[in-house]
Amino acid sequence: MAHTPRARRRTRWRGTAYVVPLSVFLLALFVAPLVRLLQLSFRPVDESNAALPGYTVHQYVRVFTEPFFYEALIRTLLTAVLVTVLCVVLAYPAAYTLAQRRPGLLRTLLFVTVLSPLLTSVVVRSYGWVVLLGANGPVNRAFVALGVLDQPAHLLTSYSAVVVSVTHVLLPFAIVPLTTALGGLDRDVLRASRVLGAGPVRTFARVTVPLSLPGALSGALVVFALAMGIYITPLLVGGANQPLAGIRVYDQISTVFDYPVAAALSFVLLLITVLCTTGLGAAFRTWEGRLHG
Amino acid sequence: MERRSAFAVISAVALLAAAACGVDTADTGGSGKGGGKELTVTVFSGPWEDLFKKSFVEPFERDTGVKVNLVPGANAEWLTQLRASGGKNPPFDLVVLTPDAARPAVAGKLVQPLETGKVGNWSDLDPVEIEKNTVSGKSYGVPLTIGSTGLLYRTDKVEQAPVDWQDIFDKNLCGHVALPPLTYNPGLEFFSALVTGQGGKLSDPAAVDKAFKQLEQLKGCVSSYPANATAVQSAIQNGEAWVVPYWDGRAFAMAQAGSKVGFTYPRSGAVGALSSYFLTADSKKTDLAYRFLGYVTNATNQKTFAEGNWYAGSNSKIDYSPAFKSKIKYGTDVYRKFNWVDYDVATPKLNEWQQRWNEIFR
Repeated sequence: MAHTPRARRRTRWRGTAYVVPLSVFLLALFVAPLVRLLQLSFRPVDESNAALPGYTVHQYVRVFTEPFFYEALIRTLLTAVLVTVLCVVLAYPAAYTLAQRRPGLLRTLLFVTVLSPLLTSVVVRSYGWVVLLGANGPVNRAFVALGVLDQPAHLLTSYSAVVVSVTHVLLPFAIVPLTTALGGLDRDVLRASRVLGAGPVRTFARVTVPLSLPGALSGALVVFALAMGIYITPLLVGGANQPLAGIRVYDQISTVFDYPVAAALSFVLLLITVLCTTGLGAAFRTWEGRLHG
Repeated sequence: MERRSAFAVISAVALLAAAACGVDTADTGGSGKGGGKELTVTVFSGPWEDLFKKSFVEPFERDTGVKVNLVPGANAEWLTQLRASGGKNPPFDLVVLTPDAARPAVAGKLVQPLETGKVGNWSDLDPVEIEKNTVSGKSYGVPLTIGSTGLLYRTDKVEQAPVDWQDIFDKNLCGHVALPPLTYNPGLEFFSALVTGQGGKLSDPAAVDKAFKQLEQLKGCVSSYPANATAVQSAIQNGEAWVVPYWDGRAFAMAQAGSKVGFTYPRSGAVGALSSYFLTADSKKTDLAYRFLGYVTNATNQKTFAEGNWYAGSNSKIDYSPAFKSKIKYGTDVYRKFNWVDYDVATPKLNEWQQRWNEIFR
């Protein structure tokens, strides 16, 4: 009975019905505004930067020819790659420790420590860095007290401060999937590696890392996508002069009131993000295919 | 039956999507409730809002019984909403804007010219402020407050108080200067002062080049690039910077709150900063709005507002307290000597200038 064509059709439509609310939600509140934004990015503007009827590629030409925009895109891409690498590298020890712990109070505390930043506003976490790195902040005070510096250094407003703070803000997004991947590793495989003569470092490099790569990749993709669009942390820690695309979009909307060019820049940023994440995913699948034949 | 249901669901989704994609959004909230007994007005967030309520909204509501709905926020979001409305059924009846945002609002016909005869106390308003809100001979904005950008400095760190813009280049201050980028109002106002202070104009590329050349002297001397009021104030308070171009009202408010700061009106001219109320195009409450503007321009109400936030009011008949008079420079003659940013020139050039600024301070 359950396998009759009629029953199969019924099951299929019932499945479709479950998807409808989410589809409506996505179409109305995500896809439709995105389409509107895409439309806006092709609008010409008048002398006060208000969108006019008609279509033009002028905004995209500006994005690719004016250093104000394309240099910001390049810097954003490089920053996102750097932050992603840092997050994945830093996530490994934390995730490994979490995965190795047996369930209990200590593991719970470790999880809460790792995940609690996600429960706090990104603005608050960014201001935390402003306080830490300020002229009278604990970092500068410690350097001066230890005699490393004669007087407080300008740690804020630097590109390094932006990279450090963005890495901190996005780190939990790398730790969580990596912990899941490492927790799912077959201990017997690790034991076999050691029995066959590999030391801990070799076992980590040749067994643990390849087997946990799907988790690392998931984390990397999330961190990369978020790092491409992040603007509030660089703005607060690095200042508005940081040449990052998110800050440029913010400037175009809040200062120059040129929404079409802000929309065009956003779409180029989105396109780069999609291309990079798709490329990374495809490279991983190729590698995995070769590994497993 | 099942096919019909599925078709109905898909059609509904498609209709929703088409509706969202194809129709211009036009929020009508705020203008329709209460049978004309409500008025929707924007206010800058923070202490400005509290003072506005106390100074103008409460007396107006008490006298008229009309409810004023306040929409706190800032220029950019209101301008976005007005543009989204396309000049029809605006989300508010009165909107407060600074000149940088007023320019595109007027050009886009999102605000309407004033019938000045309907604005109470119009003849008492400062003529310079009225002039700054005049486009092609028509008055658009009702000025409320006027402030100016000068130099905010730490009194306990700076040995000699600065007297002019050039003092920011003093070698003794190197390493302790906060410089707002051009995309933040005090940054552009400072840059404009550098250009006009030497007799140049923003429209003159040679004068602009000269100002950028001068800015290069600050390379390596800037300790902070604050892009909002909070960042400016924390840079000064935590010692990150000792001097910064900033607004007089906020500076005196900081001093009153106990910070060790002083403020200089630069000798060659502070830069004017104005906030004015505009009547939105197609507002259905124009009569009520004009009535409310009479309260906004009233000298007694403005005195409370001005002395609370240390920005002079637009009504020239306000009798300020001795404390206010001793600190704030105000009056038509003072405003005439202000440098005023030429936003018609500056706004289209802003990206290019900010790029040049970044190349110096990257």
